[in-house]
Amino acid sequence: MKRKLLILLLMVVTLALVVAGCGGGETEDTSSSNGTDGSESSTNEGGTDSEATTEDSGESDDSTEVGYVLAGSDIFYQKGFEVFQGLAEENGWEVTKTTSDYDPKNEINNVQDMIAKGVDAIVLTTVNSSTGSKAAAIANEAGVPIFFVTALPDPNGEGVPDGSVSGPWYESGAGIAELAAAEHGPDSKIILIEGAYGQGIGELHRLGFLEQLAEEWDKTPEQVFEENVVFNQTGGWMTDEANTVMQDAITKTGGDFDFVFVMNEAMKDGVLKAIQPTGKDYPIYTINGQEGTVKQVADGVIEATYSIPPTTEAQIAFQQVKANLAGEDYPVFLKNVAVPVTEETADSPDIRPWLETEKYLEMAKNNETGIDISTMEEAGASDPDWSGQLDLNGAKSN
Amino acid sequence: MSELQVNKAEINKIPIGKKILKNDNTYLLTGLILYIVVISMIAPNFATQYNFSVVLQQLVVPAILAVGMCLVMVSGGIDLSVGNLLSLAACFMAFVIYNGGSVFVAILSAIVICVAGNLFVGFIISRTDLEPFIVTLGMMIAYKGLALITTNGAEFPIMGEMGFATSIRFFNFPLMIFIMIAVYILFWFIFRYSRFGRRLYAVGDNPEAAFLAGINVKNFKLLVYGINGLLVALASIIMLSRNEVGNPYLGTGLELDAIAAAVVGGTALSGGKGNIIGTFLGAVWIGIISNSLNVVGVSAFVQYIVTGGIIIAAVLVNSLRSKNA
Repeated sequence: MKRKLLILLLMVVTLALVVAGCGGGETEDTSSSNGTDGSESSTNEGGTDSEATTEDSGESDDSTEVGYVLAGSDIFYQKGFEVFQGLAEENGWEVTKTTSDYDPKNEINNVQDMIAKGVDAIVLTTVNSSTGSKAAAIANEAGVPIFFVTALPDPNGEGVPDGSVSGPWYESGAGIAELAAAEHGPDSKIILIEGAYGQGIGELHRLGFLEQLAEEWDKTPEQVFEENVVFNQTGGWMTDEANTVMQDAITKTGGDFDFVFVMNEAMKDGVLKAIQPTGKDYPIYTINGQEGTVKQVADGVIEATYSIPPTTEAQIAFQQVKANLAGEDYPVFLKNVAVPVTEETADSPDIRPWLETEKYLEMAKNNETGIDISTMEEAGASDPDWSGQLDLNGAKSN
Repeated sequence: MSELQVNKAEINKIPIGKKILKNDNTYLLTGLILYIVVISMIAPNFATQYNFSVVLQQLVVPAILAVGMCLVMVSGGIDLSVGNLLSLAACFMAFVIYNGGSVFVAILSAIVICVAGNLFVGFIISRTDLEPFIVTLGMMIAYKGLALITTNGAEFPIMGEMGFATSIRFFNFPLMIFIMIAVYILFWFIFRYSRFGRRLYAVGDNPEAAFLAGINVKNFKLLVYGINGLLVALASIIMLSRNEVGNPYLGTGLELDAIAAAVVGGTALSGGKGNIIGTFLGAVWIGIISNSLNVVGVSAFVQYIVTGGIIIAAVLVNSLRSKNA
C-alpha cells in the first residue's frame, strides 16, 4: 500500500514539476506599456509610429506574442534576445524564448512548436542557412511571419523570410584587412584564428579579409592566402580552443609572424593567453566590439576591433517585426551596423553598448541608439558566395 | 500437465482488471494522459490537430531509433553510436544527391553504411570481452569524424530532392508517421510472437543458459546489431527527408533520446527485459515533453530539469512496481 502511495506521489511530483516549470518560464506578460521604442519617435515616421505604438499598446491586451528561437547559448544571441525582450515588453508584447542547441533538427522542432503555440511572429537565429530556409518554409505555410537575425536563410531555398538583419561578416573582415594593411606591408606573415567552420561567418570574414588585402597589396586573394597566411585553424569561437590552436601556431611558426587576426573576442582572450609566455607583443586584430575589448584597444593591448553589437541587431529586428505586425512597409533585408575601433576612435559615440543591455535599452528609450530601419538601405537576400572558402578551412594548420 | 501450462492457466484466471493494473505500460499511459490533460488546461493550443501532427513528426526519428535500442538493450548490449551513425549516413546521402547522384543510390548507400557499421560493432562486441558501452562510445566519436570529413565541416543542402517523408501525406499526416507505426507493429509482432523474440529475451537474460539451450549467442548478437543498423538507416533517411540538408550534427544527442525512451518504457539496462509498446510510450513521453514545454512557454533551460525529472520519476515508478510485484 505504501508503495502505491509513493507511486501516486511521484505522479503528482512530476505534474508539479511541469507546473512549477511553467512558473519559471521566460514568458512574461507585461500589461503596462508606457512608451515606445525611443528611437522610433525620432524618425521621419515618428507621428505614424507613435500612433502605431499607441495602438500596439492597446492591442497588448490581446497579447501580441513573439516566439524567439536562439541557435544556442552564445553570448551574442543572448544579448540580442535581452534587448529584443526589453523592447517588446515595453511595447506590451509577450516573448517566448527557446534554444536549438546548434542542432538543425531542434530548430525545425522549435519553429513548429512556436507555430503550434499560436505566436504572431517568430524571430530566429538559424543554425545554418539551409535549415533556416526550411524553417522559413514551415512558417510561410502556417502564415506566421518569420524574421532572421545574425544569419540569413539560403536565398535559393524554399522559404522566404519576412525580415532579416544579418551581420556584416564580409564587410568586417574587409575592414580589418584595411586597418591591418595600413600598418603592415605585403610581405607580412599572418596567423588566422577562425570561427567554427561551415557556418559561413568565419568563411565570410576570411573572404572579405583576403579580398581586401589583395586589393591593398596588389595581389590576388589566392596569393595572399598562399604567400602571407602562415597558419589558419578554427578556434570554434571558444577561448580554450583558440588558446590551444594559437599555441600550435606559435610552435609551428616558431614565433615568426607579424600579426594575428582572430575572428571573435572570446577567442581573442585565448590568443592573448597563448602569446603572453612568449614575452612578445604581436598586433592582434579581432571582431565584436565588447566593452572590455574596446578598453584594451584604447590601452594599446589590442590593435583594433570591429564593433558589431547584438544590441543594435535586436533593435533592428524589433522594428521590422513591429512594422510587419502594424501592416507598414519596411526594408526586409538589412545589415547590422559595423564600426571600426582603433586607439584613436575607441571613445566614439558610434560604438554602442554590446554587453550592457540595460544601458542600451536606456539609450533606446532616450532615442540615442541611432537605429531607425526607415533610413536603412536594403542589403540584399544573400551574402557574397563563400563556398570556395571551404577548401581553405584549416589548410595552413599542418 | 507441464509446469508452463499450469502457469499459463493460472495467468488466464487473473481478472482482466488486475492484469491491466499489473501491466507496467498502464502506468506510463495513465501518466501520459494525465500530463496531456494538465498541459491542455494550461495551454489550449496544445491539444490541436496541428500540434498532434507536429509531436508525431518530432518523435518519429527518436522512436525508430528507440526500437533498435530496445532490441540491443534486451539482448544485453547498448549502442551509443546511433546518433552519429545517423549523421554520417545522412551526410553521405546528401553528398551523393548534392553531387548529382540519384536518391535511390543515396538511400542504398545509407543502408550499406549503417548495416556495415553496426555489423562491425556487433562483431567486436560478440567476439571479444569488450564492453558494448566502450566499443560504441569509440564508434560514436569515429562516426563524428567521418561525418565531418564527408562534409568538410559544412552542409549539403538538397532542397526539393528528397522530401517524400513529409510531402507525401495521408489524412493530412506525413508518410513518416505511418512508417514509424509500421515499424512498431512489425517489431511488436517480432518481440511477442516470433522465435527471434523468444531468443532475444533468452540471450539478454542469461547468455550462458541460452548457449546451453542451443542458441549461437555470438551470431545472434551480431544479427541484433545488424538489425539495429537497418533501423538507423531508416531513421537517417527520414531525418534527411525531413530536414533536406546533410549536416554533421543532425544526429547529435539522438542516442540519448533513444536510450531514454527505451528505459522509460521499461527496458532494463542489464538486458532480458523490455517491450515495444513501452518503448513507444517512452518515445512519446520524450517527444511530448519538449513540445509541450515550448507550447506552454517554459524556459529552455528549465526544460532540461523537467525532462530529467520526468525520466527519473518514470524509471523509479517502474523499479518500485517491479519490486512490489
